[in-house]
Amino acid sequence: MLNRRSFLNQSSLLSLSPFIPAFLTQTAQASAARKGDRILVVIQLDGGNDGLNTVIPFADENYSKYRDKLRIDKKDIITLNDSLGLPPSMKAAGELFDDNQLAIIPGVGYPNPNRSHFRSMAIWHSARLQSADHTGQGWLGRASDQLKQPGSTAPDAVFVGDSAIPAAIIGRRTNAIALNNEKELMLASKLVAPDNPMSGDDLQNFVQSTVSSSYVAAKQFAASVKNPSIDNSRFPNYRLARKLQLIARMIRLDGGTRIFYVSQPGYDTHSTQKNSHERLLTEFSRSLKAFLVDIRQAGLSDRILVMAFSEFGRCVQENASAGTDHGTSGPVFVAGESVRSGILSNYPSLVDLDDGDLKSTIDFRSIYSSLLTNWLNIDATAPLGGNFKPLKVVA
Amino acid sequence: MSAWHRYQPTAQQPWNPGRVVHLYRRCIFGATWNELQRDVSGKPQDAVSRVLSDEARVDGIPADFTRLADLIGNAATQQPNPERLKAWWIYRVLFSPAPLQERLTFMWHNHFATSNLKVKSLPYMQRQNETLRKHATAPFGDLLHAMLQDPALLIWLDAPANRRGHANENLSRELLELFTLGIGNYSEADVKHIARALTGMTVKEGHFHFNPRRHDDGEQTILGKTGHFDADQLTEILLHQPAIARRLSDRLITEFCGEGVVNDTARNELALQLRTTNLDIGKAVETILRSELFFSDANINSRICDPLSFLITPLRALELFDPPPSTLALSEWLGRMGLDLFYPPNVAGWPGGRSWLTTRTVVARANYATAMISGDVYRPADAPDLHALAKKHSATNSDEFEKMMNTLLLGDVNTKQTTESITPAGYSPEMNSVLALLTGFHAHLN
Repeated sequence: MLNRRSFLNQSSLLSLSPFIPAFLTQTAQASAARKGDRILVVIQLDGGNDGLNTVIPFADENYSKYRDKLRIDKKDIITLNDSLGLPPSMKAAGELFDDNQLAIIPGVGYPNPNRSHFRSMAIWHSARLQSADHTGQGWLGRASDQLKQPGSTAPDAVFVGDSAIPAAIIGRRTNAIALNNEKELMLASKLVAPDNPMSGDDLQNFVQSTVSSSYVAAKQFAASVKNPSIDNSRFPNYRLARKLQLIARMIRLDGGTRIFYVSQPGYDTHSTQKNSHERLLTEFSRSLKAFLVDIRQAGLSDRILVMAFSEFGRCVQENASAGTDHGTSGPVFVAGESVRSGILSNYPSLVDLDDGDLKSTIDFRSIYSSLLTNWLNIDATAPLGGNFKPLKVVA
Repeated sequence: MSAWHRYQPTAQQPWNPGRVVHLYRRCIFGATWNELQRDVSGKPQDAVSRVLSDEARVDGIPADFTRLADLIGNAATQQPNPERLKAWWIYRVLFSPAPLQERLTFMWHNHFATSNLKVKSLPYMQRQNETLRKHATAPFGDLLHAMLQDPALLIWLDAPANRRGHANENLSRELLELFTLGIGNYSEADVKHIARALTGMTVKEGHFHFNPRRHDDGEQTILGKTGHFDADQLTEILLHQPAIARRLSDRLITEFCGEGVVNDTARNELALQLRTTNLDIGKAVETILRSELFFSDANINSRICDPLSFLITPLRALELFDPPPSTLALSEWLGRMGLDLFYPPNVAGWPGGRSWLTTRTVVARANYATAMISGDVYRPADAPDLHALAKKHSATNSDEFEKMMNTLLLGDVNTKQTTESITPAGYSPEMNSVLALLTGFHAHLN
């Protein structure tokens, strides 16, 4: 196991410049002081994930009735308890569950669900139900406003992806950035950090130490990319995994960012859903597990929690093209060593439906409330625009 | 004696290439060798006059600049393609005969920070940009009046949702907190009453529209004055508050002066000048740029170079604008450096200063410098011939080359140690020295 500090102690990078060791010692101390700072990683499952085939109520005969073509065979299901299970594509998630690193929260939704991707996502992002309140800011952006450290130059929130920054992480004062790929953190030239002696001028010292530490960090990052033994990670070859690997590396660099955000597209499965949904859930589960293993190897498990959500679930009854149409509630996952693992809410009834859709058993803001209050240790009232009873998701 | 008395060269603070480069790097995105020589051999106040009257930049200005800029801008909004609109503005910054206007347009973009993320209309964003440019040096009231009728700003701050009986305080709050008075100079009651005064303002068919049926014409009490106010009357009340002059004074000082360089006396004096000149921004800029304070040693290299300056200044200094680099590529680099034009991070704009420098943005700056030296900012890539540039300006041996590049890019700072400590491979020693100048720590200060 090689965490950041031991890496710095062992690294030949220290010999690059006489200026570096003193500076890095300072950084190591600074990061030690910040060690309690917890990080939230959000995975957005874009397109409306079919919750019924993600967390499967296999004991309910209605499941087979509604899902003729899309049914997962009972013998293949990874059982979580005597009534619920995961599809075989989520083997990795099942392992996390067995390892007490996964909370499964079925039936998450909000009143009067909106089946528009755009509107429903805006509701999840903003934590506000009315479109008039969808002002481009989000619950994590507002949270970052509260988390902001004076004098910090770290981005408050980092979105890894090539689309626009999601409203969820935009706040009134936060600095949210988008990062496309790891090349953006690596130097194209072999630059050595400037080794001018500290001048005594505060601004010059700031620039010098920032430039030096950035160059060292970039080299450290490049070394970890080239040499898997440094971060010892086994990430599968999925787009989501690569994004999470980049997040893991940024967390190791310890830049001070508390919120990371990533999305996995493709859940808009209206027809011939079976194979594509299977692929998506495999990618999701294996990527998530690889991330948590990597974080554990870095000795950072106690600082990281991951939440995964989708803007809505799907209709209970499969449609005529072996797909599912836009529905209402769906499962949310919270993962990490600090999670209260288990199944944390009631599964919606397959009999008492709301116009063919699952009624939600829990409001998504209860989960947000817990993550803000019990994980990020901030008052959830402003980010959520009210008080919502937290569902206990942190152990 | 004013705190802003005019700069006159002295033996201690001589008029030299370092001060000329300081003027250019701080205000108008750098100078070419010819522009630098012209001003070093002339009088300092004449050089400032040239900057203020848009006569400083002479090299590389296309004869049909306005036509070309319009062409690029129109194509961007018609497609519509936000990357092309960013490239349009970068084209203007790189080639405009009026670079100070571009500098101030950027300052106002950060003051009335509006993001297309929510506005979702490139024509509105472009029109706002033109409005900011048009009133860049005008009395602030002109700009404020224009902005309160600007479709992009109104949508950004939910003005159309603010109507009688259904107040939306977004515009009202930011008008007070960010655009005019600043926190501490108004009450929550003022926010509520101003929100009511601003009801009925909306956007219709792409233009400002006032809907009297949605306007709350009840009585409001705003900053101690009671009446039935509309947006214009309200603006007049705000423009006469002392706090607005102080806020604008601080904004200009942040833009043109370094950290901790300007004391309270000078700040107050500039604020007073603004109050007594109808908040004339152009006059305040002139006061700053002509001052001894501006040219003082303390003010040189005392500010974090913002990404736009970092992007454009070396291109102009090294005359890499003919043929023009890909402004689309430049726009991508600018984004990586943390400045996504037309997409400020939030309503407060880019926090600027030291927050420009993070691991990611420092790496982006270094990689940009590498791309520039390698010719990768051209499509197709085309490595620049810096030796030809040096030769053109009579720097023939390597010592002269280094001295010239040092002066061009950074003024006359002593960068010897920095130069020696950076050893990129794969370039000639001369290219290495240029790359060292562009990536060393002095490059991040201006």
